[in-house]
Amino acid sequence: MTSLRHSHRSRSLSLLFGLLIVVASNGCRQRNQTAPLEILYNIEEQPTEKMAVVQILQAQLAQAGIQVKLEPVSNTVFYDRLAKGQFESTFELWALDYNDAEGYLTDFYSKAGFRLSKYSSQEFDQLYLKGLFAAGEADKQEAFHAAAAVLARDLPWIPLYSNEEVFLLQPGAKAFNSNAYDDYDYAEVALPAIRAASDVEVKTLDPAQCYDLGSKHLISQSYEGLVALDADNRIVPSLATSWKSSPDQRLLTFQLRSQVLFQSSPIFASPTQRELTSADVKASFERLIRSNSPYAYIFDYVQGVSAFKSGQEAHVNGFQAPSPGEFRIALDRPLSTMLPWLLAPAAYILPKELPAQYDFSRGSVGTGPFVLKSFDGSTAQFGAFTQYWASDHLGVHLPIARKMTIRVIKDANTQQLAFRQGALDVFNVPLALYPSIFDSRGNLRPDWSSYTLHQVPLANLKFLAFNMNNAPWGADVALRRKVAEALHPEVIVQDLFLGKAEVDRSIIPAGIPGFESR
Amino acid sequence: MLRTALSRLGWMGVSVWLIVTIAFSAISALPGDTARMVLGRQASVETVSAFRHNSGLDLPWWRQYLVFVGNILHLRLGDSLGLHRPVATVISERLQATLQLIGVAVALVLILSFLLPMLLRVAGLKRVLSVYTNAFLLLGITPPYVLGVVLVACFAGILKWMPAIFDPGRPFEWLLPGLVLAAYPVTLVLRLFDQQLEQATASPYALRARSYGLPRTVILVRELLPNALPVALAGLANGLAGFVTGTFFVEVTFGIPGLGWLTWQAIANRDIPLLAALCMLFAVAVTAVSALLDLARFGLDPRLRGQHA
Repeated sequence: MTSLRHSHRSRSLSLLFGLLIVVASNGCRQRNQTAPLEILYNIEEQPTEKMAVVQILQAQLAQAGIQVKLEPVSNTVFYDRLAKGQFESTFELWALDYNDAEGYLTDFYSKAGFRLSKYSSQEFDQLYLKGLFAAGEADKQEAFHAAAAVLARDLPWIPLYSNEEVFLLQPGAKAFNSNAYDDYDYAEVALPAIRAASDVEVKTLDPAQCYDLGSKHLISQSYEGLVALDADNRIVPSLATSWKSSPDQRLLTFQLRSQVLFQSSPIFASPTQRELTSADVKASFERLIRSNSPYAYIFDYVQGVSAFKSGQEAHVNGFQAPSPGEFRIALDRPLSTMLPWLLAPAAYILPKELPAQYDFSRGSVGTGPFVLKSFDGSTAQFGAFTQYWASDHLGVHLPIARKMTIRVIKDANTQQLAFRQGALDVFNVPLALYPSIFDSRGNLRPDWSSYTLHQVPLANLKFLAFNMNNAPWGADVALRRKVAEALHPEVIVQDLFLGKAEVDRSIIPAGIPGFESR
Repeated sequence: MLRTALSRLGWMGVSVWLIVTIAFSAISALPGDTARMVLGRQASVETVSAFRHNSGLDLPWWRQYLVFVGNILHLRLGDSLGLHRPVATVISERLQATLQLIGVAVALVLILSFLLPMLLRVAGLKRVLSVYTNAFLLLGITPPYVLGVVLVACFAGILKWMPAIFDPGRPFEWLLPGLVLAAYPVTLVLRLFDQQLEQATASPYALRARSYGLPRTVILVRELLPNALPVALAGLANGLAGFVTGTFFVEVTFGIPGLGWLTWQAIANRDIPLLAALCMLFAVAVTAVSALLDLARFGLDPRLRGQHA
């Protein structure tokens, strides 16, 4: 017992020492005018990319006479320091979850929730809100272009590049599809059992709580929204077959797809299945607001939401279900982003019978192509939903596979080994393995050429952000401009990504409707 | 004996409380914001403050501590903040994999650090025994996260004896993670046990037994083991405590959905209700195991009983 007690003590002591070091290093950071530019970065998220990029940035800035101090920190420390504004600059990623330029601008709005750069500009706010509440597409684009121009002038962020996502597919998995928003589509993969992997943790299986890639990967196999994005990143019908806006842009009307069945579940009274109706859409959207979802804000401008939140009303007046096949959203004011916001997994449709304490790990109850059978924290087992509504362009009923497993495998080398052994059908190639898989021109090396390469530009932005509250860099735009002029992201794109990335000149990268040209 | 048992129980309570308190202070001192960890960046200020209020994160630290301890005392585990599911459900789901892993590791410890060296000794293969002991020293001093990766690279990558992805359905595949977890306790116990056995062999009572012409096996079981085991068991208790931290790395490396991985997730999310329950569970398990092994030592060694009489 003595030795045991001692070992506890030594463990907790080392923990305390660790904490002391963290506290001390936070407290002692110097802030004097001549100090080099500090670049804070998170070494727990995509460490290979982060470390390589910041070193390239450091070298390029050194050539321009700007000294850089790199500050690698853990995930929790990183977000803590961002939130408290304890940083000068950071190399970060902004990934979009819906195909609207508003997604790239939202964090600069002075009343936004996170505000990485703590940027604040009345001029920007006015243009942002003008675009957000624009009644027409042209007005919206004009306002957002102008807002992006304000950011290009003030430089809270220096845009660097957007990267591509690279998959290798076994011969049988050629029909795997994905788009810029990480919608992974396995429905057309013609294998009896698909074996896929995720290199990130799955946080939740509840659509309303989903905002991370790991959760979305699993949830989007079993659940669907009113609209979806296709392989070319266009908004296409999903559970809604068509939609239209009223002339005053304040009423959105959706025609629902008929004869869409929910996956069978004991939550339905007998029979264990039934068809989707507009009442389910209404119930799902109200649940999204009630369950304090990270995406609760998407309905902030719907009529009656504040009365619903405060408990005055049992339902949201603005969610209207005039007939089983029609659903309407009534807005307080025109909102140009309402449709793209419905792309978020949080807005997927669940049956209205769903109990308040439903355990999503026990089985899915969506309308999607695969039924989740079990998830033990590491492996998700799916079966085909044989009554799924969709067919491919030849009329073959989807999904083609009977079974699918998605495993969480965080180690890139393990994934690579498993793929080489034929135990994985789809392999999302991490940057760390680019040099062993691609030659310097970005082509597959000979021993990898038997696999199919699937390469997709992602809707993301990698950038250097400044803390606008932190002098001198945050206070002086001339200094930030000097940094921007010294950086050459094309070196990162060529040398690190072997061409599998694109240089960004604007806060709104290419690929967004109406913002294709740079 | 009763008094010993009672004071033992008292100490168990104190150490569990200490562990839980240290865990609470460590979680509170960790930088980061649970609400943002759970809700991500896009959540609005309103959503974040509603989350803080609903999960009691807006209370002063001492009230959070009282709630924390109160919930543990009432076994009111609540819902995991990060996973949005009841803590009890999540833990009971993950418990099986960890128990299976620890079971394999314990079996390996017993075989590799007691049975095998005894067999080698009975067979008179002393040189083999010393090579074996030193080889394990190398495995034991390697941290589990390195050992795991190295063994997977060897067995799956180079030798191709096993698949790269661990499949819990195949019993044979549990051996590798079990070995990684067992490596440190085996090294520890092996050396202790071997030294004690060596000393016992050189002792006068062993000499007496040999002079009677008793067979080697009988001497080993009747004379040497009772003298060598108690110290080795103390070593084992220490080694088994290392399983708690060992499972973190082994489960994450091999992708075993057990409590170690769950703890890792809970720390990453700053998931206080989940961490509270896990700490409690680990604290009880570790103190209970060491108490059981102590009881075994009392049973084996009359001298220890004498001290407490």
